[in-house]
Amino acid sequence: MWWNMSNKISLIGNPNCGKTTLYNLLTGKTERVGNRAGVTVDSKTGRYVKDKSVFITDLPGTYSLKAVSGDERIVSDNLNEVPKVIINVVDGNNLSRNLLLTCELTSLKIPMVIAVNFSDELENRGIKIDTVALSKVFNVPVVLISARKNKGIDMLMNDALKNARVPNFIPPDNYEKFIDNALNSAVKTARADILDFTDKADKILMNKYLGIPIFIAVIVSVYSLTSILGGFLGDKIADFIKTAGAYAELSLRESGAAEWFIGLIVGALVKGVGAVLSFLPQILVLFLLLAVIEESGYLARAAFLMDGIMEKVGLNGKSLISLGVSCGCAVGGIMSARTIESEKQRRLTVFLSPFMPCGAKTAVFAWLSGLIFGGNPFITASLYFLSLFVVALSGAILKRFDRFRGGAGLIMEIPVLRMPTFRGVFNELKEKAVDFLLKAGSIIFLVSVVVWFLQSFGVNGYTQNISETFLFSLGNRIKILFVPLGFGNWQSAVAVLSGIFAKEAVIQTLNMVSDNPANLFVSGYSAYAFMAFILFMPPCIAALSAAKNELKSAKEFCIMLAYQTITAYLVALTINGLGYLYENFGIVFLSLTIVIFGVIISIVILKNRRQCKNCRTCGVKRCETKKANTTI
Amino acid sequence: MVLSEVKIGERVKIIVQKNENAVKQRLRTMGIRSGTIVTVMNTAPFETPIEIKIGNFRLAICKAEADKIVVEYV
Repeated sequence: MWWNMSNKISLIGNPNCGKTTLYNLLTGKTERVGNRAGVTVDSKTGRYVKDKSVFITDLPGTYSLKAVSGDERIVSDNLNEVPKVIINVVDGNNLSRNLLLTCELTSLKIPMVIAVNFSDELENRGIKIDTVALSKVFNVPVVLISARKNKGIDMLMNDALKNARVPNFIPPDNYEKFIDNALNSAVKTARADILDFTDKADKILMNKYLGIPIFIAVIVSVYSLTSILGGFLGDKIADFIKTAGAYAELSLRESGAAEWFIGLIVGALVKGVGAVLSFLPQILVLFLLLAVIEESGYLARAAFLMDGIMEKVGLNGKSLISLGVSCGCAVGGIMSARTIESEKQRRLTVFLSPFMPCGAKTAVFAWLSGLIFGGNPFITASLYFLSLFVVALSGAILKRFDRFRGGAGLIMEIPVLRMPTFRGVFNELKEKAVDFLLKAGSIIFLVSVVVWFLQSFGVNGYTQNISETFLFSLGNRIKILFVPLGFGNWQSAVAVLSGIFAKEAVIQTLNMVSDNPANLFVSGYSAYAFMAFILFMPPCIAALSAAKNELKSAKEFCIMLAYQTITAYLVALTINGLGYLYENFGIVFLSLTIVIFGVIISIVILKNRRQCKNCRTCGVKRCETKKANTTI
Repeated sequence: MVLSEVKIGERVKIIVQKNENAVKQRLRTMGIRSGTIVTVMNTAPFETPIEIKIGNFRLAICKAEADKIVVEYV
């Protein structure tokens, strides 16, 4: 490794105790933070800002060194390269649970410092922790810190670099007794078990009846704010780029630049990259709202509410977190699947997360519906619900196969509700804006240049006759595939192809190959089928490589690609087919077909495949596990 | 009585867990074991999962697992 192991400090602690917030403070980085267990699913190393020779490693949170899920395994693997010092971050609000891991850490015989985080919240709740007494019990320095408020950090690092000691070994059988004694001597609580703000708010947010309507309201408001506010700001940028582009073209012509060069600048830069850039505000608004949901702790509550429904379709409450994160970007969503304990549910979550409309797809839909449906908000909103419906349907179908069936029930920490910090939200936005601009400058620009080249050159060199170009012949060769879907023209075909690199590329390609992309679609429903195809087709290259990484198998990866392609094709075919029926045979025939197909599908899905309550994994009529468990 | 039968707002003490070892071990690393006092906070739609509070720690646990945790009133 590029860092010097002899000077490495590892941050270890329970999930959601603030390790990454501390890491960002120590290294000056802007890694993603959030208020729930499992935001960090990979280890990260950076240099300490005040002493560049010291390396800090941030690890995923874990309850125990005995690994269960993929993110927890990273912690035990990482400890194989022994760090110089361990900073054990513990949540001061939950000492008795957090110290169990501390006890396990004593068996490693590595010098350690304990950082008791959330000192600000402890003060508010009237809890006093005697660090000297705690330090005597474990024989290591104990420092009170607040990573969110940047308090006690220098003292912690001073102790970590100079005073860290190997802790007293605690035998595993004595953990609980040992902790009870330690807490008796070190913690003074004013009042125990009072109902705090989180409890009161959860009475409403997690209410059996109110919870789901509130959740739906949250989704709807995220969507409408993104499209209204983001759309408004985006239009301003689009106007600016248009004016700048016209000005550039004019001055280039006046200076007598070559025709192909003008084509490159206007075609690839203005029409291609420029069209994508105008969606920056929309994507930022979306990520701002998602960051607020993430940092407040609401996402874990949504997972709690939806777990029952998710289980019915072979998923898990934690899959909802993946789906929710995927509404921003599927890469993050796919990586969060790591926290799911059951391999089969994890696989299914990786398969289905890319079906969610990510920021880039949302931009494509907003653009197309603006062009074709006059910006009708119902069109884009319906795609959100279509994606949820297809995820549920996919889960219900796929869980019939052994490859996906079965898994563990949900056991998940519900975080304290917290006010999102300005620093956290701002860092997230900065990160996303930089990502987006880098993407526009690299992959989007490259696709633009390639598309420009292919549509400006043919076998006879540079040409202005489009039917002689490479792009035209390429598109014409594959367009037959899309005829049943209602968009069998070469322009749409190449746009779909470019969507594999980045979904934003669909906008730029359509914009570059057609003066008025609305004319490419013979009817509203064929345009809708096109959007559905973009929604469900395999995700962009970045998400594909994340999926490959999580699935850890080329075979699984190919199955996923095939599944997503087939789903995209079938959904688009259905939409186009229903539209065709409606147009030619009227609404009565259409409803009749929908009802008949609906009945067939529900029979297939609801057909009771006997599953026993106890083992959940078998699906066979006579299950040995069930027998064994009921006789106990 | 088992944990899944406890009404919202009631406090109970865990007597014994009949879950498989992996689940039992996982709950133990979260500080849940025989003798732990828990409060049931919320139940999700479809009766699963339920939210319990242990000290200041809130945990969602699905019904199938809560069915196998024997508790008594304190």
